[in-house]
Amino acid sequence: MSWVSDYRYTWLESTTMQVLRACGHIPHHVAFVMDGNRRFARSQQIDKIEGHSRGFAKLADCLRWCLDIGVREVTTFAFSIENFKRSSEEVEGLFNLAREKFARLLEETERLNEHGIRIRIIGNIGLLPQDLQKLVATAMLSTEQNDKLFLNVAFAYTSRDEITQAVETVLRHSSDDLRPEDINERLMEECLYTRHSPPPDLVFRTSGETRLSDFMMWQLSTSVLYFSNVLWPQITFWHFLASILAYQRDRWQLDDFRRSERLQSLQLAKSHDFYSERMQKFLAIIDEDRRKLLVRLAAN
Amino acid sequence: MIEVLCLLLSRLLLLLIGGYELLWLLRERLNAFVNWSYDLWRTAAARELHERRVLTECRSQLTKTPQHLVLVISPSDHYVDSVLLRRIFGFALEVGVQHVSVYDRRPKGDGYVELAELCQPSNDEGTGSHFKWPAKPKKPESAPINGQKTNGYVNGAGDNSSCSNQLQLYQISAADGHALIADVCRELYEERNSEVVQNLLSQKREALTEQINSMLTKRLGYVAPEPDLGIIFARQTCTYGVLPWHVRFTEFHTHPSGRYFNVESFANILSKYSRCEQRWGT
Repeated sequence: MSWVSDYRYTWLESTTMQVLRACGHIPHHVAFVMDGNRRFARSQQIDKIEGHSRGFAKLADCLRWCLDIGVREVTTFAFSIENFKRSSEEVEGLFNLAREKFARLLEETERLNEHGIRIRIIGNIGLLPQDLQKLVATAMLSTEQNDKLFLNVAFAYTSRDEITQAVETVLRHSSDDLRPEDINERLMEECLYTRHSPPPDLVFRTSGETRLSDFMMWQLSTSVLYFSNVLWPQITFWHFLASILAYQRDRWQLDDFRRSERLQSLQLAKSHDFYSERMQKFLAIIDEDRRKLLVRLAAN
Repeated sequence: MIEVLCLLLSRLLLLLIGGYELLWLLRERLNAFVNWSYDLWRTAAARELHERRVLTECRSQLTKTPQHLVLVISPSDHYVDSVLLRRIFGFALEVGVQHVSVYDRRPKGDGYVELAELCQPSNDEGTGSHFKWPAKPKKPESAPINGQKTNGYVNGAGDNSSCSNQLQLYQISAADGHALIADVCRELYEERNSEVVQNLLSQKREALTEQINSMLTKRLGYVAPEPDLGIIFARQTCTYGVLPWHVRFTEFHTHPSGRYFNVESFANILSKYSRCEQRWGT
């Protein structure tokens, strides 16, 4: 199963998609909480890992839909740090699935480059088995030049861990260039894993749960949250379109709030010398360190 | 040709959505007016009796009760006022909720409700945003009301009989979100050469997470667990940046702005909360 499926649209599906595109305001960044794989497996009386595998197949469909409708960035919650509490058999099964999918991704790098898809893994990669770390790092490095569709896979991720990582990055900064008064939410935002991504416009969670399960808690303060009762492997193109339509309906009510938040962020950046050479140097060091880590992991 | 057709259809769709929204709001406001008139017509005692009856029945059916409820009020909401908040506090107290946080994103003077004007400040040391409601604790009631009997079920979050007689209220502001985490980071950075911080950095990341958590809790003046239920008063579901550190496992329910909020709405949200299964990653 490929990372981007060859989904064939019916005439009605493609016309409806064009209508929604013509409505304008397609979300730039959509985040998916892919919940319900195990419940789906139980309902179909198949193995849990097969349920996760079907879930991945749906992700490939979703990526195709996003690419075609004009979404430019997709973030998916694949594996939470909390999921390490599951049975070792299931965790190992999930890692095997990830190994298989990332190996497949490396085989089809050419196809991803053709679509301009960049893969980024957000999360505490250090918690993963070494061979998987290597695969993940190689996948990120081999697609780093692409810029048409960004796919962020949250793996070994929780928002608390991400925020702690941001604090840790600041604390470990050895140079005295950074002054205490430089530290504010604008700088913290730049130290998150999602440093180069805009906040999600739409967060889509399946399986009827109405919580966020520690996913992108920092980033989604201005996002439209869309909860659907469907289990992730059962998601169809129509569910996806319903979420886009809900976004188009709700977006304008959040516009003023978003604008004021953006303005505040800009004022904060301006008043705290965020664009100064000193601060930009600090951020460049973060990027450099992160890339060095990937190169090291890929070379292991 | 197809493109023109799609463009026309898209305009039609937008018109339909706009029309639907308008009709929906009219219906809700009409419904709210009818409910409000009915509440005005009957005596306060009759209304309270009805509310108690609904809440007692609701409580008897709950498998778990939230310990900490957070109310998120969107910047464009015009319907949540101090009267409604007081009623919600009353409902919460009745079903055994112990802590309520209010996160009002409206600007001061444009509907923003100051809890300080409604409640008594807490005696505990805090940041001035911690209150108690009601000012004087109610006497506990031992007998079932109006012959209603509970089925003796003990909720997941504890025994109902241990309901507190006073709510702990917290007024949360936008500054308690991202900015507070940045403040904690700044404080740690100022002490980065100290033994404590160096020790934290040498351990697993969880140690630093714990430290951040305790510093945030101290700054918030929280003596409450993380919120387990959130009610968003808005036309759409959005967190509006409410406590990004603390609401990670909060169940959110949206009460659309414009819809009348009464005891049935509250009981319905509690029932939904009670039915949801929290798996904690397992």
